[in-house]
Amino acid sequence: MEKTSKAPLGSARLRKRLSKAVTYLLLCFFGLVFFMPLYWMVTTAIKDPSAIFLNPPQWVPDPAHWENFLAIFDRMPLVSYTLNTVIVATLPVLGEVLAAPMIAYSLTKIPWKGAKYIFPIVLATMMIPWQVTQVPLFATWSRLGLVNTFVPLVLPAFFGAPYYIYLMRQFIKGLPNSVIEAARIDGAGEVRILYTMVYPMCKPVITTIVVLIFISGWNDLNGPLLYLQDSSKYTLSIGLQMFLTSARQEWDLLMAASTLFTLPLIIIFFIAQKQFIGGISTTSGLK
Amino acid sequence: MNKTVAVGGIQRKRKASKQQRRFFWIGLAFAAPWIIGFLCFQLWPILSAVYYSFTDYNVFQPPQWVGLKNYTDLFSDKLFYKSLGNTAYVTVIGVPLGMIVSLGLAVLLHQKVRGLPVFRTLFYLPTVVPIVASAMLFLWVLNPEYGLLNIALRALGFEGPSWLSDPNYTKLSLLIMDVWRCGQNMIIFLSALESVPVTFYEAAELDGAGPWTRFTRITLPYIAPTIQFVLVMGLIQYFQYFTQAYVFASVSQMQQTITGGPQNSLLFYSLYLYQQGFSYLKMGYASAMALILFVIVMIVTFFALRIMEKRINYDVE
Amino acid sequence: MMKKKLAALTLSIAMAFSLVACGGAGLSSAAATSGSTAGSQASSAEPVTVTVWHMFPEDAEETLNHQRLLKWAEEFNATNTDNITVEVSGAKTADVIMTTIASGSTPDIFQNYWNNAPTWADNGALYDMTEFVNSDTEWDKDDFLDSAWNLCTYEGKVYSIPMTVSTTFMAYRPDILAECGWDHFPTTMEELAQCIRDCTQVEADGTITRMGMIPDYPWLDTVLWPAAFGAHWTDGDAPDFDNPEQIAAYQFQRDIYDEYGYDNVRRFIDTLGARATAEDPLFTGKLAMRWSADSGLAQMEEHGEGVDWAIAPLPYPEGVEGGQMLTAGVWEMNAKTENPEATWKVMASLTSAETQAFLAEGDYNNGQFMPRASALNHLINDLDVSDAAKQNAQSLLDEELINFPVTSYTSEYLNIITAEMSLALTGETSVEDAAASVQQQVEELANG
Repeated sequence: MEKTSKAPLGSARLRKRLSKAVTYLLLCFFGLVFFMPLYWMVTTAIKDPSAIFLNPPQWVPDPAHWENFLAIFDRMPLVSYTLNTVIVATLPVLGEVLAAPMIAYSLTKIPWKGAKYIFPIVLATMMIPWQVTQVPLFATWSRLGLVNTFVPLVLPAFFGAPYYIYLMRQFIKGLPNSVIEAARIDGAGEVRILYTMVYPMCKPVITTIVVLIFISGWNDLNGPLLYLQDSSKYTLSIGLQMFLTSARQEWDLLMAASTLFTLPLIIIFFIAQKQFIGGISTTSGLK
Repeated sequence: MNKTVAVGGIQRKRKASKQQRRFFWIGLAFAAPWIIGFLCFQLWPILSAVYYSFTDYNVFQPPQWVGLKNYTDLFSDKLFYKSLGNTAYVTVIGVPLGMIVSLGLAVLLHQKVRGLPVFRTLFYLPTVVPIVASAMLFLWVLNPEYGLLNIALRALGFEGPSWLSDPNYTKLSLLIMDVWRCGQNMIIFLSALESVPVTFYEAAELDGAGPWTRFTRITLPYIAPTIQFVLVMGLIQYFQYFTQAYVFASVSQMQQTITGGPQNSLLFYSLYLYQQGFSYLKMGYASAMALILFVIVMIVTFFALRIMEKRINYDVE
Repeated sequence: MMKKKLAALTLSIAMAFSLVACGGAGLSSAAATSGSTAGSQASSAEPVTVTVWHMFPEDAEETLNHQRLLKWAEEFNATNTDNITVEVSGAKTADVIMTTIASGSTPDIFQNYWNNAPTWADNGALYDMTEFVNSDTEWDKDDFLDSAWNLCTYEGKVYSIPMTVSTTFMAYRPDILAECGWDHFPTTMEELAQCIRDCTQVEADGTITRMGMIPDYPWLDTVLWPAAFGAHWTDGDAPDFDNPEQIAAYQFQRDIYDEYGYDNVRRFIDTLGARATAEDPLFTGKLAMRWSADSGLAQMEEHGEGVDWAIAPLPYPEGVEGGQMLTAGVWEMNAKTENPEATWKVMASLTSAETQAFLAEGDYNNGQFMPRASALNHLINDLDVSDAAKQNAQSLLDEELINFPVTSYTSEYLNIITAEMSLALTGETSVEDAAASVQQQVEELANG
């Protein structure tokens, strides 16, 4: 009896170990591949200008110019650029997190006539290339007197961006109707259902949205370039661009600036990604 | 007797219609931000673009009505077809490739092993690093002589092509970079995977289902809405393929004019549209191009959605 | 009831908003008239603000353009007696400037690419400065290089003021040339062709290890070789591309590919390091000669230390009156500027001999040369710069400078040439056929 039951158990354990080993192998391989740009960026930042374009490349910078990081501070008003960037990156997060789930909830879980008309329009608005709407859109903001303020970069998020509305729709649509109906019968208002039930159930995707919007706001170059006209309102992305467009093309400083620019994002992502796994217990608890 | 039944029916109907009205107003209120945003900031630019497409419009002066001229001109424009072909090429390869890779990586990152936070961050890195830095790195990776890719191919006994100057390979080069920057879809898939209730897997495991069966029978159906999202967004974004080609052109050539790469092999639809609108100030022509693209994407998306929606059972229970 | 009212209110607000937006944009685009004649006559006592937008980065480094321009503005604001305040803002792109002008009135003065001028001018975005330029004697139009004015004049009107000029030079390795039997840099195109052949090393299997020169490296230039061959692009207003000189200019380039094999040359190009770094193929000896835009000169000097290299002007074919190519960065004036007189005063100061001399001091660090003869002479006589830089400035003063014609279809013309002629270099079509194709396409453009 004992023998027969032990054999399959052992092989299962072996298989589990093997699959774990394969998983690690794959993770390490891809981890290395994906680590490359960061390594490239940081090492180029401290390389001697003569070594930047060596073929084959110099893997360990020699000599290392750590002072390049300090040079960035002399070349642009880092503090004001950073503050502006924080505004442009965080306010849209707030707006989108308030708007997108609410709109998506209206489109999926509230039985009303408008829902089926709105969703196709939401999709359709993404299919028009921005190149042809940029001028009239800018004219609109200009008419409202809001050019050269942060409003055109921040306000649209409070109206819900189609990309995030669609993403939220896909997640909220999958939530069990029975649970929501039950809450309604218990007399819960829609606002309460949205905030006390839908938000917790969608925590992984909402965290994802927070991260995506923050990063895209932080990285956005075209928006600030177009709508911000005073140096005092410029963002880091504009400052970063200058090392590329300057006639000297200071690659080492460009990469040093890129490193300083990216570091906060990596830290934020590292902290936030723990939240992606936060949703399971809530969801399964409801079932 | 009959009367009371009838009255009750009406009352119930009234109650139902009152409920319906309540839902209508709540639905409207919840959707109001989007409606306001759409009416204020999207409708006018879109309608303008539609109108411009029937005009001779140079951005600086009022448009002049020319009827269908822009459209008829387009159909005899060689570069219009060339750019459409280039765009179709990257869409047909890029969308499925991107989906498979990002889903694969997300599944890998969803395993229960140590050190996941670090790996998750690592995998997402290429997406946060400024695209200029990525493009520079890739100029080297794809260098035919000293690049990592061709060195690896040589070790395997192949002679790699000139990735960046041979018009047959330039589009593939961009797609390779895209695959490597798939972090955004990866974390979207990851958040979908995290939403699959663990109980489902436990039940399936008890039934003796292997990992592959669990993946196809539980994971895939459960995350189907996300797959649909990634597919549709992939179609929309690849049809408007612009940034990567633009950055690559400016980093590799260091010239002011943005061209379509070697023998126009990187002249994508949106790049050509941009050229017409912003370099030649033919915004009317560009708008006509935009509208044609809109119709194409609309049709393709419609079919993609129809095929997918049929297979998705949103309420998995 | 309350809710209904509320919803109705929301809807109507939304509608009103969108109407404002519609009406607004409609008005502003309707207001976009070509108005070079318009312009209010503000008395000089009234305060006027003139905005100047440039495309340079907003770098805090003092020798760079932005800081120099800020310093100029500070000086101007302090000294002018017309109550004018200049505001300088940088890091703009042509797209941003276009979008802004299309929907508003800022900026008054902006930097642009020379080849944008005709399309922008045709479409009423640019102020016609002809009268100002001709009547402002103190400003001294004639101090500018004549050829720079060719780039800035469109249909007889001046829409742009030269900001910087750029030509090309040949960089070469005297040591390699000597090793291959050349004790001087080729003085004619025929000699150049022979010199390229003499300096090129090919292995038995066709692999190239060194080339004399690659004419379309770093890029296929649409002006450089045709200018040297004495070619023209237009005949009056009509496009004229398939003339013998154009064909000769491209055939010269094609011959080199034919001699060594297109694929062999491409593969050789793949092995070349980054330009204007220590890995520059000229410095590593992979090329005996190469041409460069003079904006690359300063950087090449920085990285070419210890290498035996020199510069020379591009030679012309025997008996041909060729020329060196010329391009320019330009300043332009918004057609909708509120106070043209004040704006011109700012423009005149921005491009005055003193300002150019001042900018030249800092600007040489970026390898840029100024369009005024006085500023070039200042560089040659007074500034502590390299001999190569002085030589280059001198050749801007001495040589015949040829520019691409400024016509309404210039930008498209340039792109069509690049597309068709790069195909001709691959060997897929003959140079004649490609030239005929360019001619046909551009004719369609010019007539359409």
